[in-house]
Amino acid sequence: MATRPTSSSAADNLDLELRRGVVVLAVLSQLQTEQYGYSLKKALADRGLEIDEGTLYPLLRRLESQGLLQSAWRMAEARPRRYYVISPGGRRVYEALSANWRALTRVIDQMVHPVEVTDGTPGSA
Amino acid sequence: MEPLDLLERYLHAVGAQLPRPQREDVKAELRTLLTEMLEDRARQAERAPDTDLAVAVLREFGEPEAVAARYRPPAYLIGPELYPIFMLVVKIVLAVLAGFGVLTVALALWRSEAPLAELGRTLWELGVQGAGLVLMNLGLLVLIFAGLQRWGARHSADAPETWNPLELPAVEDRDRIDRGSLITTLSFNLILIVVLNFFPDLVAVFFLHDGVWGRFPLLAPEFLTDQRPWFTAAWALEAGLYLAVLWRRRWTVPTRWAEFGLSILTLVVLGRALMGGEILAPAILTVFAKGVMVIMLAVNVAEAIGQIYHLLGRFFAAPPAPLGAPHR
Repeated sequence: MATRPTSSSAADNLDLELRRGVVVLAVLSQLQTEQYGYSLKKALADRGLEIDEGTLYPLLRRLESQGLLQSAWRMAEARPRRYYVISPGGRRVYEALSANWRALTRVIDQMVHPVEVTDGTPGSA
Repeated sequence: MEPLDLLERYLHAVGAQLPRPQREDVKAELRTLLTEMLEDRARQAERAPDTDLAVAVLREFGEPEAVAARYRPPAYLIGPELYPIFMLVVKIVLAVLAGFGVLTVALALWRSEAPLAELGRTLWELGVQGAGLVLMNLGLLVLIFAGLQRWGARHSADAPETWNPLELPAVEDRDRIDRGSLITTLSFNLILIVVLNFFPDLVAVFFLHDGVWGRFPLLAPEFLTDQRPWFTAAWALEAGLYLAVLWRRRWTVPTRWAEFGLSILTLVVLGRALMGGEILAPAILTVFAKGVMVIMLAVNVAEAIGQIYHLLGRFFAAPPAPLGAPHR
């Protein structure tokens, strides 16, 4: 996981706000197949995005109450687990959010690294 | 303590702060998650789950209050939409109570014939009553606004389609002068000074008797000797201030302070007249005149409070930051 840019509390708060905006997209992207909370946390961490448990698990509930996720308890395993998967409505939202994200990162990259972007591909010099 | 017992304590602490309908469901899910997390850490540490590992896991998870708060929807006693209106109403109520308090104290002092020690006790009792009144009113306001917040009578912003920027209220320029009002007051003051000092007999009831005009002077001689210089001084100073303001074409900080000083002087003059003897010749009219003065006193108290509020607000306000400077 990338380290935080500065140690000041203002920078920490801004970093937190930035992450808060993208964490929903990250969660929806990983729930194309069903996962339970801890496996989802590990899947996100394996891809470089650490989200603390106190944020992730309530977020799953919130997304479910908004109709973006579906969940079900599985009792057949070693211990009962609640599995989450993206709902049909969530899939539509995810598509829209993904498109917005791609457009946004392109624009922001041009602002943050104006010299490096020559052909519209972020990072290509 | 067994690590699983510690997890149960934690789950109980979190669950106690969750809404009842979702409590057991969330606890069951968290139980699984915490147990798996603990087992994972134990595997990484190559030892059996123990209390130390459980403590580390729970510390990472966060305090029960914070975790439970994340499961609850945001709740406000008075939310951000209502808060500005709430503060406005609080200020108005406090200003009214302050004016009422000053008036009560002034009346208590005026009527009191008790020695100084007794007077101190009376003022203390009035202060305690006033504090109780303030607390009660603030409590009522909080209850009313909390009710509005709870039952949804929220201030809703206009939809962008119906909202018209041209209807925005003009920015109040408190230092811009109202020439008409200043000139009218100034002229009125000069007339009062001239009449009161040179033609006091003109303040009279005129009547026609047998084709001859007669008059019945209204101002009591006691008023003319005791109070006239004070009223004259207050009106003259006010006229002078308004002339200075008209000359400068704007209110300035010094003229605003002078205005506040004049308000205090006016309160003193009105207080002296109220506590003094006859104002108008027939005694019954003095009662009426003093009644009017009590109202004027209350209005002046309110004005003085408003003036000092704005002056202190201006005094403590930060100067505008230059362009490019970081906001504080």
